[in-house]
Amino acid sequence: MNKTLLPLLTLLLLLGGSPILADDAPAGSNLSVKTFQFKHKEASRAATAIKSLISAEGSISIQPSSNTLVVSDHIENLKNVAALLLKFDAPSRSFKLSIRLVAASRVDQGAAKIPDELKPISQKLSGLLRFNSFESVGEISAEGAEGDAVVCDLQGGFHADFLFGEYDVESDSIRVSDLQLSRLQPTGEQSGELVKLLKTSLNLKVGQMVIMSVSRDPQSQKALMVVFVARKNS
Amino acid sequence: MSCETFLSSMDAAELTADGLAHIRTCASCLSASVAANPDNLFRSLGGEELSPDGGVDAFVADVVQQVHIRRTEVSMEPSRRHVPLVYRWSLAAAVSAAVLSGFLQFGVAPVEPTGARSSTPMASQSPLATRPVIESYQSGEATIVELPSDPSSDIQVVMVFDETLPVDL
Repeated sequence: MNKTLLPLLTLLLLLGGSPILADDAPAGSNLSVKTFQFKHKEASRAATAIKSLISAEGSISIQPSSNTLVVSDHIENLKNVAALLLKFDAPSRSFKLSIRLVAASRVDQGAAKIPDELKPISQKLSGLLRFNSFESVGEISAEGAEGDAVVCDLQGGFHADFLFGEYDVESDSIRVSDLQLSRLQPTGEQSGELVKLLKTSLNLKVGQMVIMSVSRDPQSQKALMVVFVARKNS
Repeated sequence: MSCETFLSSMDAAELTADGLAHIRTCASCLSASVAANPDNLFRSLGGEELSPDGGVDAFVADVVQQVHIRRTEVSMEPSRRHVPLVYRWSLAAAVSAAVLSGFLQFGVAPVEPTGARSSTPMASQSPLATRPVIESYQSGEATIVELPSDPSSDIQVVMVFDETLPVDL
């Protein structure tokens, strides 16, 4: 019976006899609140960036007028959030993006031609894609900082416009938003008009060559290749 | 302005420019003026108007902002539950009675302490996923194939098959 009464007394003491202890350590007291104010980036974008770090008990409040985030979470999570936001709120960086358009086709071995300047690209693509003939269509190099809009004309009647998006520190990539590639129609009813070819948003790893092969279907004998290389401006 | 003129026209609420100039030179009129309105002592000291950097409006906006942030912080802080002592005792007595009656009715087997330990719930720390090269594409019908490549590779190939593209691409 003594063994039975002991836990009961303990329970009684815990529930009734410890109001001071309970007041000092309120329920959920391991949650903390921290405020982050941003100089260079928008608080709403920061909220998106830290969303995956917030626990189920945590919460985020955006204060657009002061460009501030108020984050409530466990201290351990807040430390991770603070470290990420420190990197996030960096001044806008400048980038250089080169875009090269290459017409690729599958032809008889004898008719295949590869200009010298495209040989490095064709070597990289050998074994990956079915095309064996390449022709440079146009090339442009654009510079800008995060948030800058770029409009440029390439050779061959091509036209490109896009927005330099945000640089992601973790993946070392720059976002190219709303890239729209158009071409002047040489003949037909729409002659002289810009015809939209494609519109896309990309994440380009800095220093990496990204080749986007665009064709109507996997059996196409021709494709337009858009070759991107993004670099940081020193 | 003479002392007689100042004292006869003295208004507790208002202090004219001439009156102000007079009390700065006349100690007795200053005393009379301060007795009527203590603020006149500070007015007599003179000095430039003080205004915060950026103007009063910016200062007020900043203060309002800080108040707003603080209010949000407070609202997000975990709530403290103050349960009166009498309710604690009532609850304890009720729970104890229930447990005791259970023990008396059914007996109890000794409970081995479990190895459970408290832990702070943390957000899942999954490794950072690589962002897709093509984040969005105009046509929902298109097929996008991102060829696998080593993260350290200097080349990444992405194929887009889109039947809405012009035939003479």
